[in-house]
Amino acid sequence: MNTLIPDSLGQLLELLAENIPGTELLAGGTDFNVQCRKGVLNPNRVLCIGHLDELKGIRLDGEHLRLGALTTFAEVVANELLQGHVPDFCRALAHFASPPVRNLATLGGNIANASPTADSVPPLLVRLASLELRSVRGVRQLPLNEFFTGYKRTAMAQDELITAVLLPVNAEDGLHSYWRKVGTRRALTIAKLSLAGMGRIENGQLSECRLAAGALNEYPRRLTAVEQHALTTPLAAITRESLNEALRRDITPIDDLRSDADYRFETCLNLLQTCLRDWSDHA
Amino acid sequence: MSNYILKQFSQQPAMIDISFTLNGETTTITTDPLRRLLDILRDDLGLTGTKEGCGEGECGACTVLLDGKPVTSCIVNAVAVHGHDVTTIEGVSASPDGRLLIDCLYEAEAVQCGFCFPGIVMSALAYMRAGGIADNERIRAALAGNLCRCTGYEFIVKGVAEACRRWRDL
Repeated sequence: MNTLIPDSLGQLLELLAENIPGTELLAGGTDFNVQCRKGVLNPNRVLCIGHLDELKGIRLDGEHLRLGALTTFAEVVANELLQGHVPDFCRALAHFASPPVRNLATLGGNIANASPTADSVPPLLVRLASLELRSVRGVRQLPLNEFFTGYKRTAMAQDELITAVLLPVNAEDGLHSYWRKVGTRRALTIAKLSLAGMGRIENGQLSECRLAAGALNEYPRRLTAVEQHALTTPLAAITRESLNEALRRDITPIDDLRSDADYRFETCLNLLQTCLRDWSDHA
Repeated sequence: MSNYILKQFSQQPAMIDISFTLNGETTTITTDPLRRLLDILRDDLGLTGTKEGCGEGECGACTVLLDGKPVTSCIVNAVAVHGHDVTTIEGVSASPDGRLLIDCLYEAEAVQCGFCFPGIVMSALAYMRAGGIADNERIRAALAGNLCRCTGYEFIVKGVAEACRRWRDL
């Protein structure tokens, strides 16, 4: 195994452009180290990127908040610019993992790892986040919604990496938000499921509604059928039965060691009802 | 980090020089860039106060301070330490707030078997240094990454709260 420590982002991109199979990026290391020790991950070549300043920093960039891919969860939680523009997002990430892990784990790593349970992804999806992907071929923006293509699979080319996460600066303006993660304990737990939402209520009906679930499908994704149902039905007419019918079109929960499909489905329904009730109560 | 140059290794084990501050002293070692900080501390440098529990960043027994922030050293690689500042349990009593914290935990009878305790002390010290106050809920949140299977946490929280109270009164 080769371990390489590139001097700059430019050098890193050149190394990625060699398209060597089995290349892994090491940033915060919270997942990399565990997977390597378990033998799940057997990289042929490791590129260390945790020291690259080009991938750090949080700043306002036109219409977007630009979060460098190496931004840690602790930095999101504590950042004043983000607290000012997207306070609920900062609060949501305060429940990720534990304090020591939040000081290491990076936003870019959580997304690129493409786990179904990635905690940062549902809150980012409902805030219409996009990713800045870079390679020697150039830079492109991709909506986060189009990034995941399957279990642990992404639309990122082998020579690309995530350089930043872009959040619309007005992502939370005038909107209700919701975030709930269900697990066996509060800290350090991997989600049985999680639900994030952003919505606006006008005259007893949702005029905007974005919902995204984690740990329910092979990757975190928007609940488009539920969203459509909620947008076209007066809040008073939305029932558990009608949500149930819509949710069945969105998700096919899995049985695994953390929970079973029935529990996940019923609990997701509970969270959806709680979310809509919270929003109505504060409308 | 500008002193890094591209390094490529063709044979095992690949070694690089890592320099960092350890409990206030500059330390340089030659090691595999992916070696765990936990192993560097315990096996290479003989600082066995830091314990290995789960080895997956879940239990917090191996918590040390990296640039003043608590991190689980079992999932930190050597490469991430170069040019940074590390404080372990061995360096705690050298500082007045660390000494006070240890005294308060002792007085509160917060320790039983002691295996989780170096990590708990490091997380609690980071909390104190971040201006932490004697608030049970906040202390529990700060210690959420440190599992203790003996004590039920009550006396630990009590000890940390007392340390916060006394430190602010100093």
